[in-house]
Amino acid sequence: MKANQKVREIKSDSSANAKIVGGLVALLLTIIVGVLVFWEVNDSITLSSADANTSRNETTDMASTVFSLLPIVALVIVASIILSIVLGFGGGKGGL
Amino acid sequence: MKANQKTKNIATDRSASTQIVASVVVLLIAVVIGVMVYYEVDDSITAFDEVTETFTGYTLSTSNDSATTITLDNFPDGTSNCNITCYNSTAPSESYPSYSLSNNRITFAAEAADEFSQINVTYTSKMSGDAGETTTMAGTVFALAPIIVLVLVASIILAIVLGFGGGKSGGL
Repeated sequence: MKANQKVREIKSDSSANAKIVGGLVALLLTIIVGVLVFWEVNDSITLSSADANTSRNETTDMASTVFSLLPIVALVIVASIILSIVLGFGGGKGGL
Repeated sequence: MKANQKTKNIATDRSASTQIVASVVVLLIAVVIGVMVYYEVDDSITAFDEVTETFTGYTLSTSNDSATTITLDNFPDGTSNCNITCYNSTAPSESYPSYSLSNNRITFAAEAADEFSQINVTYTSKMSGDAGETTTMAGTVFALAPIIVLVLVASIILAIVLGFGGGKSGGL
């Protein structure tokens, strides 16, 4: 992931801050565009068979779960940055 | 991170303080611009708004004699987010039948509503529900992002404090 990659380059890249935030925004926007595309395609498909409808319901339920979990990636990236900085407290080698 | 990196050079680099402040400001501005871009895009997608669909062509005298099924354009996000109004344009009057929802199909029984000439359905789609959860999380992320700056400032303060008394453990 671009945002996460940039965390590794953060020591040498002077514009890393802006790139990480840009990566986070891109990630979140990609998720909502993904939601839009998925549901537009799904809503446009008409299924006549009950079995097909059951399968589709399972897929859409799982898709909803996935779409709910995806934004947590952004949360974890922010947490990883904060943790990286905290690990460097006191001039330790572990942090940024 | 540049601000943190400069913390290590602050003792020798005369411009380090300026660069630390500048990078902190750049980060905060990037967050604000990120917030602006995200919400502008999110607000511009009209598919995430509440949807109202109108179904017409019902004959008043026979409209509620048999069960009625309508197919919506999108999948509603459950019955709690879907309101159906059967409208009689002659009276005029409205009735609110109980209904069953299956995917994007709404069915209500005969005589469940008064005679009607039009059905209005207002609902929030599943698409909107999923996007809403992303937006909620985005709000959390944007609220947490400035904490990075807070932690950076804390790291600088700690680095300075650890150097009190000329100890070697200080970050500076």
